[in-house]
Amino acid sequence: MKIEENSEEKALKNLLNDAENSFKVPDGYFEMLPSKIMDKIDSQPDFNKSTEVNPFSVPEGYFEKLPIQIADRISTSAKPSIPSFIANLKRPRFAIPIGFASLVLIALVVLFSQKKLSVQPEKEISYDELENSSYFDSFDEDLLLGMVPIQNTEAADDSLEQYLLDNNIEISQIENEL
Amino acid sequence: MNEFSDKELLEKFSAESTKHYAFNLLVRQYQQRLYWHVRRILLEHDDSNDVIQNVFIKVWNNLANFRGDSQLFTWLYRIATNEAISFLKQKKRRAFVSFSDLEYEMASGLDNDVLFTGDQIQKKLQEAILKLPTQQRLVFNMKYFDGMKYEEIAEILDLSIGGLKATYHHAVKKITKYLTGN
Repeated sequence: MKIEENSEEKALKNLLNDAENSFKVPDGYFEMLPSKIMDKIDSQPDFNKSTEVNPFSVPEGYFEKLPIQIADRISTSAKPSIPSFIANLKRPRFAIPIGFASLVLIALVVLFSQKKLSVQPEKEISYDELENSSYFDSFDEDLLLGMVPIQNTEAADDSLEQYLLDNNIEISQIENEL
Repeated sequence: MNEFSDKELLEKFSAESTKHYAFNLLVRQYQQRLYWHVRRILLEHDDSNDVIQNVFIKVWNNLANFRGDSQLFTWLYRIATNEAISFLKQKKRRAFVSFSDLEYEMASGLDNDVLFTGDQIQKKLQEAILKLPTQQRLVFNMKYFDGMKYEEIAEILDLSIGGLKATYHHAVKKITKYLTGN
């Protein structure tokens, strides 16, 4: 099988060698090609050289402090997570969300307090409704009388007697009326 | 600083009496490599600082479970890469923007970043890298800047070497095209 492949390959090579190259290049192409390639390379930005120096930097002493900061965070992470959560909220990136949440909270508080202040007007009750109400079943008249302040009865009696005399009304007449 | 082998660090970490000491050595040994890897993904120092601290806290919590199937630095790089990518996704969600908008913001942020001292070509290179899809970006950074071998990158990103070579080739082509304006 191997011998067959080799013979086929040889045949192909012979065929190609014998065949005339049908592709052509412009005159002097291969003389000009190296300089053209070099021109193309030179026209590219030399970012290989440019990036030899790291354009990024860190604050002074950053890598000396970093292990200490990490050790601190590890020791605090063993404690309850609430203080670190609050500490995170102090970061500038949370300023806008916290401010927005505070505004929403204030708006809700104001809204609810206004709702409480606006008392709905009570519905008027008719005399019939009042009379039929069970409220008066347990009403104690003596208690009501007890609540009425004691007035000067002598003065009231004198004016009443004068009124009866002026209008010529007998007490017996009043008793009959009652 | 004397470098300790992974085996030495892990042995010291497994003993309770030398656990903190070993971890401190580990942080000092790997902090710069991991920081610059994260920084090249996030560009901004403050973000990179947050992420690198979280990376080492994860390492502290999980190092006891490290089985040594891969090299320690490969494992650390994998954690750092995942943390940085997660951070970018969170940042995108928080800002309610698409990745392309976020990348535009990141690139324009370099103009006012006092911790970025690159010239116009370096800024343009960062813009070009930001325009790459995430995987191409990671591969380009690790190969071009970190000088890592394809075998190492393949282990970290869990990709085939053939696929990585193609990815890197595409990334270089796109960056060159962007830089030359073609």
